[in-house]
Amino acid sequence: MKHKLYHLFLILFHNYFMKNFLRFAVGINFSDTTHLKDIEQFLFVSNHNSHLDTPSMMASLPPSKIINVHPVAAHDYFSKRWITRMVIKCFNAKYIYREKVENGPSTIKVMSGYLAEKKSIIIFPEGTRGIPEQLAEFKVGVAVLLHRNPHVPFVPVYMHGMGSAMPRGDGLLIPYNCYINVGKPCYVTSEMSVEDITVFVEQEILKLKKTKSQQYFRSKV
Amino acid sequence: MSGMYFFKFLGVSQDISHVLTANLSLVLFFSILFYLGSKYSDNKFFKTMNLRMGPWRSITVIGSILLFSTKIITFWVLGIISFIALRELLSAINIKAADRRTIIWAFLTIPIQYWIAYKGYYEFFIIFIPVIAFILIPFRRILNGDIQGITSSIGVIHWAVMLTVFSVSHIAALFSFPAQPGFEAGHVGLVIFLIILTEFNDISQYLWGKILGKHKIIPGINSNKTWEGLIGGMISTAILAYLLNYLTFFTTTQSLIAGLAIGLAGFIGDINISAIKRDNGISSRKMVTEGRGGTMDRIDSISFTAMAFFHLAYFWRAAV
Repeated sequence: MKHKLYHLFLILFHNYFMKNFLRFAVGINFSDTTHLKDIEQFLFVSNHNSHLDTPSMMASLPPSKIINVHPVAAHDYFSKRWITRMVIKCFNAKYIYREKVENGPSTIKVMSGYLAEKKSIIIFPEGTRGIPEQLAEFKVGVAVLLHRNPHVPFVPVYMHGMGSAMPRGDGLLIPYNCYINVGKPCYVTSEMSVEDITVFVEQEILKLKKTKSQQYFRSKV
Repeated sequence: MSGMYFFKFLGVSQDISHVLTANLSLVLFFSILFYLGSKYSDNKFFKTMNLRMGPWRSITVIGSILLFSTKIITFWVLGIISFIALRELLSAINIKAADRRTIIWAFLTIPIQYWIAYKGYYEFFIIFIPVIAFILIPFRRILNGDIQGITSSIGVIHWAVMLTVFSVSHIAALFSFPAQPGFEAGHVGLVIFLIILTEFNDISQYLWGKILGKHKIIPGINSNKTWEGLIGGMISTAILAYLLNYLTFFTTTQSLIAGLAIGLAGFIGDINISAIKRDNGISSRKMVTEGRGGTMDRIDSISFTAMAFFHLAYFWRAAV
């Protein structure tokens, strides 16, 4: 019962309230994600420029999937203040530990545990919000995770403009036309090394970048 | 004919219901014609025209909402159109991190400008963005202390506000136009006159250009624009303005001048947006393949014709 109520809250909050707010007040253009309904679990992998990234990824998920998808958040940053702890609850997020905590579980182990429970994870391979519209060097964590769990596909996502609407180090949100482009699920093969997977993920994300005309002329959905 | 009874039922005067019925029938007729043409024929003309009907259809729908709702809803709808257009324009040009606070001030002009238009304070309405915002927007940018690129920033942000907020608010200001003695159609008549002439001008300039066009005006910006299209469009718009004269309080000469002015202003607005899109690497030709265009493509000509028309009408109003 509690689980179902929480699912309903997530649908109302993300798929209805946040999605329409982001669409109208900020100007985010969402892409079609109905193909995600058919996959049991996946890694949602994207570039990271802004605090708007996670809300827009959650809002673009199909409502039936949203309860099983967890953004991962750095414990050292998000557990400090009550407001960020609140955000963690509203976003169905899970903590990971960037610093080595004594006797604490390692990040990869924690995430593998969620994947073993048939859950999906939102993850930003850049690790942190960088300079807007510039892809920072990818960390190997995603590749290691995919290497150990080749049965789980990753869904590449490219987001543009969020770094201008709300960049790092500035709490002010300004209206700015952005887009989020969700790609098709991709599987890694067992022959690929960790470095190969990192390059593969980066290429798949960059393939979803739109030209300026494609952004301006919104596609028919 | 049933359209006429429908509009009468809504409490619209007879002159206006004639025009609205004619407009609706024309939109329906051409939409169906071009849709069937694009479906059953390989001729490119039908495909292009089918897409070109899109703005006309949306203007008809939005226009009907504006005309049959209360004044407050009309102003909200126009304010939202301004907001979306300003957002789109500022997103197409590259903004810097230092411009962000200034951009919030630019967005704040929207509620103020529409509130002034709602109250009908003409003197305040006409100076708020050209004078007060002109002083305050550069001031906010300078307060930042970041000098890099300040000249282009303050120029572009204020110009974007002029183009999307100041110009579109003139349509709203027509609803607060001082009442004219012996003039039945009222504000609604003026707004319909403006919207229909603007849309008709767009389409007729395109058609004249297609049929007769030989001498291009500015091939570097828009290869569709020809002298034949411009002159033919302006003359046919003036003729339609003469025929729709009874919607306004203009004399015959005045309505002919208004038609010519709307034709010229619509052309200038159109090439303005084309030029900005070209400069920012957005190609207009994609409209044929990529589906619906942005909001700026819809309001490009009406943002210029609204200003020209409003000030002509204000100049010719009866002194009370």
